[in-house]
Amino acid sequence: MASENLLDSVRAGFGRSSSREDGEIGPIREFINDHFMFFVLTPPLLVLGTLVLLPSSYLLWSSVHEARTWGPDVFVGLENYIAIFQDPMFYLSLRHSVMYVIGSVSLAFVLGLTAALAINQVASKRIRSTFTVLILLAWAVPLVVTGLIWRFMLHSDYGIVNALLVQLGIVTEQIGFVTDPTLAFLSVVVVDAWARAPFATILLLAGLQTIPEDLYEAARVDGANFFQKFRDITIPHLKPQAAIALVIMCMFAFRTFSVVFALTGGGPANSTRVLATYIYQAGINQGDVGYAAALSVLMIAMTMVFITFYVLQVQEDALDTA
Amino acid sequence: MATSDKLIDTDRWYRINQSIGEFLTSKYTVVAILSTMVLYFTFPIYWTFISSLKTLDGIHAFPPSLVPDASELVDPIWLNYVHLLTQRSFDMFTFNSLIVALVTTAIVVTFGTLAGYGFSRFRFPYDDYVFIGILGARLLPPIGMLVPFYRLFGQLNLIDTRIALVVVYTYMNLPLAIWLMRNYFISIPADLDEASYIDGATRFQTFKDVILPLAKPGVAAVAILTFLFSWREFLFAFALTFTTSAKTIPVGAMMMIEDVVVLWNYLAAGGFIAMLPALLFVVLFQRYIVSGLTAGAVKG
Repeated sequence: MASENLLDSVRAGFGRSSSREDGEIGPIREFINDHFMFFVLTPPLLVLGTLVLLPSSYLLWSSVHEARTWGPDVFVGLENYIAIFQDPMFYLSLRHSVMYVIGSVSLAFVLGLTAALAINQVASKRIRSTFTVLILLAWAVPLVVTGLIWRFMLHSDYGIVNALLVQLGIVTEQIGFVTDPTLAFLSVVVVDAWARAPFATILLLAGLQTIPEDLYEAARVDGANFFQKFRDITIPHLKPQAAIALVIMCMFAFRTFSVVFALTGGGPANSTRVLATYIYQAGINQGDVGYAAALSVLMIAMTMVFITFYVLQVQEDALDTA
Repeated sequence: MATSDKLIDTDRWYRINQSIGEFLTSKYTVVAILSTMVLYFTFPIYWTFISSLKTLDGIHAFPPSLVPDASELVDPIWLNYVHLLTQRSFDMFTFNSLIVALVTTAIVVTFGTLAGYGFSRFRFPYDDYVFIGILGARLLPPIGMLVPFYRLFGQLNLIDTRIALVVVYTYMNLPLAIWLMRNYFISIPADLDEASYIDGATRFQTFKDVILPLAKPGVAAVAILTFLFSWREFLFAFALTFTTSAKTIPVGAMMMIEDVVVLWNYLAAGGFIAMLPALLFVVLFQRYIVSGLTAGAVKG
């Protein structure tokens, strides 16, 4: 009924505005009117198409050329790719990237799930949204600033983390969180999870809120305990949302540049070098554009696995709504 | 005998589970978990702010004070910020950041709304494939596109310009905008369009006067997210700019780590300038951000 009223009010509003036009429109506007689909879709698709296809083809072109930042390109076929597969630094960065994704995403997922479950327990809507805002603040911090500020907090001389550990008597000597190769990698993962967890919280909370309250009520009446309810109601209902959250987080963690770059710069001794920082170093710092382009193509190809999985997950839902 | 033993055992196990469950879902546990979480997620932000007000001696004090007294703070309290704005070109960086983010937002909102409406109301051959392509484009890793964009801008003489950043940020944000707007328009019944045609409105009038006003929350979500994503972007801003004529705030903050002696209080101030608008956005527009992020992720 409400939509009928809305229709009526829209009609009423329209009656006035179109009567001003006396139902007559000029030839140009009539042309636009007849080809309206063309007019709304062409400009955005042209812009987006250019912005995607032009650099993509240039990327593929560069990847089969011996190319420097400026100057002529020399066709070398698949040499760049062959060189990559013989490059130990590539395997090192790839291994770091994979470990980084696994570490950061699982940590962020656990943090996010804990926060989401706890927020979902809060009855008052106002308090729920306050907690959500407070956690979401961390998401708002630009990633490069996240890296910088944690670099300061983890500093071996002036960092608050070391100061706390020493004061509490947990350690006697300050720890070089970002200067020790093993610790540096752990630090990068933990800091990345700090930045990523709020996003997980939001997605998982949205998933939790779609679970009907009656289910828990019915389970309670049947005498189910907390763990049974969690196992038989929460997990199955949260699964689709959790899967999507995980895929997205993996994709975003795989491409991370800013956090690593700001926190450790890829060091010490390459211990935190990931694919993204390797591409940057090869392409921008060393100007070896062809090699960096081939690295990029490989990285995009690896991301495609996630993209395909993701598109398959959401496409049914996406196209169904049409 | 054995059966009843087992029964008792199960019962006991059930009761233990029940009481652990009660403990985990009790008010106090939930409050304790949430307080710890909030402390963990907000402390670095507080620390950035408080460090940005300290003198260098205050920064170097051991242990650093969580709530510093006046002797550890600069006088006047905004001195570090004044230094950044007047000596470290942060006035220019802020200007660049604002211009780039605002222009990008205007472009992305315009094109995103148009295309989103088109996809929600019209069918054309292979439209599903085009749409899936847009979905895929949104998920391409930006770092993978850095090299070709860098070269293209080099050849077009657009390195170190704000235009280059606007172009890249449009590329990064437009797919999500189209996606979010299309889903939003689909939630508005097409009957409204029909009713408006019957009343003699043109398609453009229908779009502008009937549908667009109803889609305001969607437009707001797209605008806010695009602004935030452009404001915070670092990789391209860092690679494509060299001078104050195009450098943005995140780049300005990063530059300070490259000093021979890192002055952490200035760095914290730079970091805080970079995060401040984003923090305000989250507090003011939480609803739009949450709905945009959720819809953007779950429905694509």
